[in-house]
Amino acid sequence: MSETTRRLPVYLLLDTSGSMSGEPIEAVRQGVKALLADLRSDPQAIETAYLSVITFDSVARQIMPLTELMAFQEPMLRASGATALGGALKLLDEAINREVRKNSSTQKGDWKPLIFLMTDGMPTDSWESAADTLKNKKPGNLIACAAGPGADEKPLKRITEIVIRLDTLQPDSLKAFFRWVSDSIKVTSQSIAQVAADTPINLPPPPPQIQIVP
Amino acid sequence: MAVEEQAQPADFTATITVPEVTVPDVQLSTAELEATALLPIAIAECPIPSISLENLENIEEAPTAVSIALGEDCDSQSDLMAQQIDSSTASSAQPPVAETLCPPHEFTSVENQPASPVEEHATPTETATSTLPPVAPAAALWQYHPVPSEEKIPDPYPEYACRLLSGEHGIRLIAARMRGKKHKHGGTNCDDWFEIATCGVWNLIAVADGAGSKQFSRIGAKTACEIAVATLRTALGEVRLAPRRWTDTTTVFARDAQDAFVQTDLHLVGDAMRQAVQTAFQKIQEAAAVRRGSERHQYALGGRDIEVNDLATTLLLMVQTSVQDETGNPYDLALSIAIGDGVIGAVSWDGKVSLMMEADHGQFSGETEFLSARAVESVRLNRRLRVFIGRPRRAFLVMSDGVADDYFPNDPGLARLFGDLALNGLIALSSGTGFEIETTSADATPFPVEALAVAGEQLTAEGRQPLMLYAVARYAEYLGVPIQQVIADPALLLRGCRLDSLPGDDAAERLLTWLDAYQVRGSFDDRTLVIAERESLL
Repeated sequence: MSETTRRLPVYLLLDTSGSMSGEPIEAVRQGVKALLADLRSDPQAIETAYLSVITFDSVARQIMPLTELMAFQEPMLRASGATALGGALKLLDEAINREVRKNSSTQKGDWKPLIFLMTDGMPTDSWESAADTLKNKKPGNLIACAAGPGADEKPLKRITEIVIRLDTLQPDSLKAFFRWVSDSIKVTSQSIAQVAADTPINLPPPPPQIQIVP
Repeated sequence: MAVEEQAQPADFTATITVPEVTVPDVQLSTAELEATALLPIAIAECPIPSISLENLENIEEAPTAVSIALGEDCDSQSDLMAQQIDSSTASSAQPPVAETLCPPHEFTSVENQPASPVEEHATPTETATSTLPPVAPAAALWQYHPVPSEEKIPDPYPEYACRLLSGEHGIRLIAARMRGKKHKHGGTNCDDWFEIATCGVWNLIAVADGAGSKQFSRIGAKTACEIAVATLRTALGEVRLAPRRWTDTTTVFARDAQDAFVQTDLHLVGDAMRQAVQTAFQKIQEAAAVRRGSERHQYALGGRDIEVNDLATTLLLMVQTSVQDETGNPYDLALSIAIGDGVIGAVSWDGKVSLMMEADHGQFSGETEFLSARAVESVRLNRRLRVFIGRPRRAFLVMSDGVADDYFPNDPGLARLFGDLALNGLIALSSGTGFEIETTSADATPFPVEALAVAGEQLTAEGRQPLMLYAVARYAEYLGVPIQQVIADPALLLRGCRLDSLPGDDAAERLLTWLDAYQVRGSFDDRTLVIAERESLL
């Protein structure tokens, strides 16, 4: 891979705690699958988007490092355990530090990362300092999704301005969420172009299943 | 559009390899040499040839003997002349250019060879860093949609443009801009623009790139280029620079409290460039104002009125002339001013790159600065002024980020760009008969095309048109020599130059074809490149 390729790094942080088991985790699997298929039909996404998956239950793991779309293999997602959101945020920070290239005199930086965080519960570990670190550093455009009735929006608001809510964990809602994620990645990969630094990101309007949390 | 045929030197090779014979450098006394060597820039620049050559040799598996007639002594002297900042402004907000000129980077051009989506010959480096096969499927998915008509979107601009102009001082200006794949796929306008002109003793170049995130940025780009060049034509028509001792850099490049040049004639040119940018921004504001209240613009903007921001654009300006030292020897002098990204640079006869701007960029790709009320404040613009002075250069290159990013880092990337242009017949290596190169019988063996070619492709209304392009990185790899060695050797360049011609009636049309066709993964922005090239030494 040429070192000059400007990538659009996309991080998916997925809650795989016990409460997701059964239908919800299956819907997430299908969602990721559909997202891949959709993105693979878009030439700009193929050339630029790189995908990584971080899951968190009792521990957080980067189960897929930043990988180009055509080489990306669907991760094995299993749901069990608690909700180590803090661990996931820490892992995200490390992964971005390690994987995302910044502009320098000898290196062309990647495009600003796009991060989607989905959780259906409340964090069970210490997450506050990791959240504050992320909000300060703003390593990318982070969209946090509180999925289902048990999800707590407050920690998410501490991480990012952009918080959305899925009312249910029904397969249709999760499917709609992943389609919107896919659209967002496509829109971002199409509009990657010069912007003044700190320009807010343009995302497609969310489907009815998704509400924007003010 | 007439191209001025340039005088053919009797022995081109000799002219190149022994430049000190035809263009004597300033004679410096030993005392002067010692004094100038103390300048930070001199110290910073001197190691360039050795560092880059060593690194290149490390990259190459089988380096052949490097025997470039670099003329070290005269070279380091000439580089003293290539000072681009004033040491007294080193404390200002702008980082000293000396750092840009001599970064401690490695020569990475071999890895940076444009990776075509249909490329089958992955370089060893590529396979080493990635176990994956090259990805091709994106190529088939790109679609072509024409620029929308005036009825659909107001202010449509032509998809592309190109122009050839015979300039001053033996310089030929070749310019082209092409709508990028991103805009072809989306059926949107090209946001780049360029203008070239000559006036008096000056060659003028403007390149602008409208913000991709703004719907009417092309208006800003066009206005910026047109107005800036028109302003400069008026201002510089009668301006000639006085001969002087260019080695006395502290005097020549001295700046005042406002960061303007102290010396009267340079001050005048600097003022003209600053005013060109300020007038351009003023006209952009007017261009926004006259469209206010236009229902069609409002409709395109989702119901709101157009703002100056919707016309956001970068602007790169370069004016170039030839000046004499106190003994009558010609030197190239260029001033530049740039807001935003893209690159302005020069390539020497031995393939060395001098950059004349620092792109404004943030942490991530795509974050840059545009013309704004703040950006065009006089002192800020003065700080952006750069001067290049040195022995006559092979080429000056001004380009939008759509090209600059594909040749990053730009030092030495611009040398690779120059090599690609030369091999594809876009730079004059020989203007006809009488050009003789000494070759051995082994040298006469024709190269297999695969040794030089990479796959290119044009995305047109008629579909995808494959087009073979030559790449200097590939050629250098085949020869087992550093890229810089190929570029510094006209015989090598000429041997590797394509025998057929790219489609197009003149150099500018062929440049347009090349800009349209070369492939780099993830590169689908509009591409604009202006080449000010000099075929032979003055």
